[in-house]
Amino acid sequence: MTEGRNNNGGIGADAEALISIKGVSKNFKKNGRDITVVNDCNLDIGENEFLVIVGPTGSGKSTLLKMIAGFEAPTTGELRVGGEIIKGPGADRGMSFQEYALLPWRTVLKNVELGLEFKGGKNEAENRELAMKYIDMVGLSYAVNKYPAELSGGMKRRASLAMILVTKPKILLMDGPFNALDSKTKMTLHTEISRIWEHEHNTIIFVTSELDEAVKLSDRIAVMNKAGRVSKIFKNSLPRPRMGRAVLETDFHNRFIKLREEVLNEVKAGAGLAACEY
Amino acid sequence: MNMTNNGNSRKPLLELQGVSKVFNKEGKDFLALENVELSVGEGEFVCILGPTGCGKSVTLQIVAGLIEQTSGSVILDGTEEHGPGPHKGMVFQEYALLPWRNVIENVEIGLELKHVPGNERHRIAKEQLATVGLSGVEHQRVHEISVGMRQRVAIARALANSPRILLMDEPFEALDALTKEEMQIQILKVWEATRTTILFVTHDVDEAIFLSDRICVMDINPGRLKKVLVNHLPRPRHECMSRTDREFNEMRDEIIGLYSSLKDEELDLII
Repeated sequence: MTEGRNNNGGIGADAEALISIKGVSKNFKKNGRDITVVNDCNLDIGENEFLVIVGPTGSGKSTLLKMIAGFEAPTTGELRVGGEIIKGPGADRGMSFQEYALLPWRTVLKNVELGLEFKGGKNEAENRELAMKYIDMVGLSYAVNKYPAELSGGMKRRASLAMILVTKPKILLMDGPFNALDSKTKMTLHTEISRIWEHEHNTIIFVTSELDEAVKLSDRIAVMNKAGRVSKIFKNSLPRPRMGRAVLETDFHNRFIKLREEVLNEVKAGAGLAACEY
Repeated sequence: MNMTNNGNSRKPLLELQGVSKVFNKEGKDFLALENVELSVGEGEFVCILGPTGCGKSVTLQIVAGLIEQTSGSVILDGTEEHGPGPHKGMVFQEYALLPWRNVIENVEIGLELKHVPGNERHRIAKEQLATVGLSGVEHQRVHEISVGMRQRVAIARALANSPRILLMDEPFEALDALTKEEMQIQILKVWEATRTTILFVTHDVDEAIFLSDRICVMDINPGRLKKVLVNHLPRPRHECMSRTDREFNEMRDEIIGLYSSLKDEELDLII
């Protein structure tokens, strides 16, 4: 265990592993041939950690996330949460997808309340209060009574996020949640997800192919390569908050660029690409 | 043909009376929809057809209750409508399934919210999945099934609430040509099996001809209903109809003729 952690770039100081991934591989059949998408993956993720997984397309990062969510079963190896083997999806893990999952005939508020209604929360006033709290947290209070058709892409993301947060999952799994958003909206959402994470103390596993995003958000960055392996894990000790004035300081800036470059080199090596191709 | 019922010979289920919509964009008023009069009969399949900007989606969203008309009324079953409800089933281009639920759990959503007991819920959902030709995938996750199948799930989900009317906004637009044709046949089968009234928005002339009893042809600047055509092509169409039949082509010519004032690039959008 101790050795593994050293190779892993270490998880939080004295944190026990909340999620433990041991020797996990995943094969898919394609045209009658077995293809290994995730290859002998070992990873420990600590409680309240913000782990970002990066890698080129086809490196298995989304598949790994789906296995943690319990949507896919590993071909070999095991995944545990809190010591228990993951056998399927559970309320302790909330997954946010690239596509929006909003019901078009419900307003933002009614969509966010949905998670609570399914959970059997029957106290309407309580549900409403809780829903409003998370809608406020994602900065969408001004649009509570709008329908999804009236929302911009960024607003739909926020609403989807509130819909997941309201069920208070211990672990938040995010698969490219800010892809395809303009850079200003993306920056705002980075600030908000960091704030939510600090406030809610959940554990976040975040998949992306954007390195700026990875360096800005993470405690650690796991790099996956074309072979479906975790090739290296970087510890990110940049001070938080990583926004506003702090970011402009020379020392911060230099460390940011340096880490980004190290990660980039690792991704390039794993993808067999030249720098400009990634 | 009587002007107020636009050729609807059945008992009216849905009526739009003088429906207009003005949007305010950056301080300027913009007339998106002008004075739409339409009656849809019980069990009818009506398509709303037109190029971008004709207000076809706006019309459907007003019927759905997602946006409010500036003037006029929407009457369903003799009652004036305000806001959405499970009696109006919606199927949009984005199928909006909940990815953390499996197929059957997605179909059960509406029933669950109405507190229908589990067994009953399951029975209805299974039945509706069979109606859309989706048996045997009940327990698969949404991401494991094809996009065409996802749209079938969205249709089954709407049907599970026993809606009075099914509102479809370009539901097959994002699909490849082959899947799109498959889905057109499927929706006709669903309609024949359930006899649910369908109001279907499209910009595809062939799709409108293939599916509809009547076609509401809409025009732009401002968005308005230009003409309602009765589609006399024989049914069932999915078994014997070819889109190169003489009658099919005549209908297409008639519709294109209605758009003679459109510029070529605007016309390209609907053929």
